[in-house]
Amino acid sequence: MNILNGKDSYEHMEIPEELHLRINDIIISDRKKKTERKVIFMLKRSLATAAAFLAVFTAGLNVSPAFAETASELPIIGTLAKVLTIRSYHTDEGDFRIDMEVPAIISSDTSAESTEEFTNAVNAEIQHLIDEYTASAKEEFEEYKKAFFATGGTESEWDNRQMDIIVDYEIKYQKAPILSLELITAKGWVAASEERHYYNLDLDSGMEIKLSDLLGEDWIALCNKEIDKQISERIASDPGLSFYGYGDNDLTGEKFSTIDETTDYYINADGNAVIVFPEYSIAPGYMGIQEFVIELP
Amino acid sequence: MKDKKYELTVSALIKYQDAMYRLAMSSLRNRDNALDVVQNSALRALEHYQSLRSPESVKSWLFRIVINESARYMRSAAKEIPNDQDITEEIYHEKAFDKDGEEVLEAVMKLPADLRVIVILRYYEDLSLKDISDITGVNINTVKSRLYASHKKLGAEIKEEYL
Repeated sequence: MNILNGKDSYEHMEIPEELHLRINDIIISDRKKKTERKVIFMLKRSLATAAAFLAVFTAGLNVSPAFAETASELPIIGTLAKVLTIRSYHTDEGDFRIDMEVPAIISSDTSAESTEEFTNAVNAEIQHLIDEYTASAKEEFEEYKKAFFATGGTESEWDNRQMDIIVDYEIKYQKAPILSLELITAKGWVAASEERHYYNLDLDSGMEIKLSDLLGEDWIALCNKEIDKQISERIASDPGLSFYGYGDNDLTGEKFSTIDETTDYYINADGNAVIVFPEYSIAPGYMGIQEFVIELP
Repeated sequence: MKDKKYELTVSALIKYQDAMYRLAMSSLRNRDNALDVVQNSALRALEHYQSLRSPESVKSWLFRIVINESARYMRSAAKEIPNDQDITEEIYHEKAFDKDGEEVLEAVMKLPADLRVIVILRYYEDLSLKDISDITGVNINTVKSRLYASHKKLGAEIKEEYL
C-alpha cells in the first residue's frame, strides 16, 4: 500500500459551505471589534439613505462668499459665527451609497481673530474625522468584499450589495457665545453602526466647554448618581429594556460605573447637559445610543 | 489597525480554512464538531495574532491551534465524539475518484489518533518533520518512530525521503 495514494481523496474531502460563511463572519466581526474596540452584534435597525457620492476631500475649508451669502438665513450664533453645510454629497456609485452633509462653523466679519482661529481648528478636526471615517469604512467594506469572494462567494450571492455611509449634523444648542454641535457618522452593511461626536464650544474664549464648567466640581458624582437613578427608572417602566449589570438578566457587558473627562455630552435646547453613551457601552446593541439629561444645579 | 501580523492572520485563515477543517475532521470525524473546532481556532488565531512569529510559520501555527483546539474539544466530557470505528461514515467525500485512494485514506483514518495526525501532516499536507514536531509538540524522533509505526500498521513500504 502506498500512503500517498490517499492524498487525492484527502484533498477532496467535502468542505461544508457553512465553513466559509462562519470564517467570513468571524473575520468581519473581529475586524470591526478591533476597529471600534467594542463588540458589534447585528443590528436590526437599518439605515435609510439617499444615494450618495464621495468627492475627494482634499479641498480646504474656504467657503466662497457667494455660497456663504446664500446660506445667510442659516442659524447665527450671536454675531460671532454660524454653522452651515459646506459640503453636501448624495451619490450612489459602485460599492458605496454616500449621503453626506458636512458642517463648518464660519465666524463672522466682526468676530475676533482668535475666534476665527478656533473655529478653523474645529472645522479642520471635523473634516479630518470625516475623512478618516470614510476611508476606514471603505477599506472595511473592500476587505469584506475580498473575503467574501476569497471564501467562495459568487457574484449572484453578492448581488451588488453596497455599504451606506452617512455623515450628518445637528445644532443642539446655540446662544452666544455657546455652541453645541453634534456630528453623526454612520455606516451600514451586514451590520449597522452609528457614532456621534460632540463639539461644545465657547466661541468667545475659544475653549471647549467641559462638564465641570456646567455642573461644578462635583460633576462626576452628580452625573453618576443621576444616571444610575435614571437607568433604574427606565428598567422599572419598561421590562423590555436592559442595561448591563442591572436587573436579573444575564448580560455579559460591564455595568455602568462612572463617567470621566472622555464621556460624551451635549447641551440641549433647555441649556442642560445630556450625557451620551455609545452603542454597546452600557447596554446591549439593540438599545442603541443612550442619553441622560442632567439638569444644571 | 494596519497591523501586518493581523492582516497575515486574516489572509492565512482565508487560505487555509479548508485545510484546517480537514485536519479537525481527521481528529474528530464529525462535521459539526470539526466546524466548531475550526471556528474556535479562527477566533483564537485572531485573538492571539501577535504570537505569530514569522510569515513562513503561519500554516504550522494555524495547524497547531487546530490540534490544540481539537484536543480540548475531545477532552470536554460533554461532547460525544464518535469512536474510532465509525470513521468511514463520518468522512464525506465528493466522490470516489479512485477506489484505491479511498481505501488508503480509510485505512489511514483507522490508525490510532497519535499516528494518524502525523501521517496526515507528513503525506497529505507535505509538512517537514520539524514543522510536525512544532505543531504536535512531540520531538522529531518520536515523529519519526510514529511514522514507522504507521507504516507497519498499514503494511506499507516507507520511503527514505519521508524521514
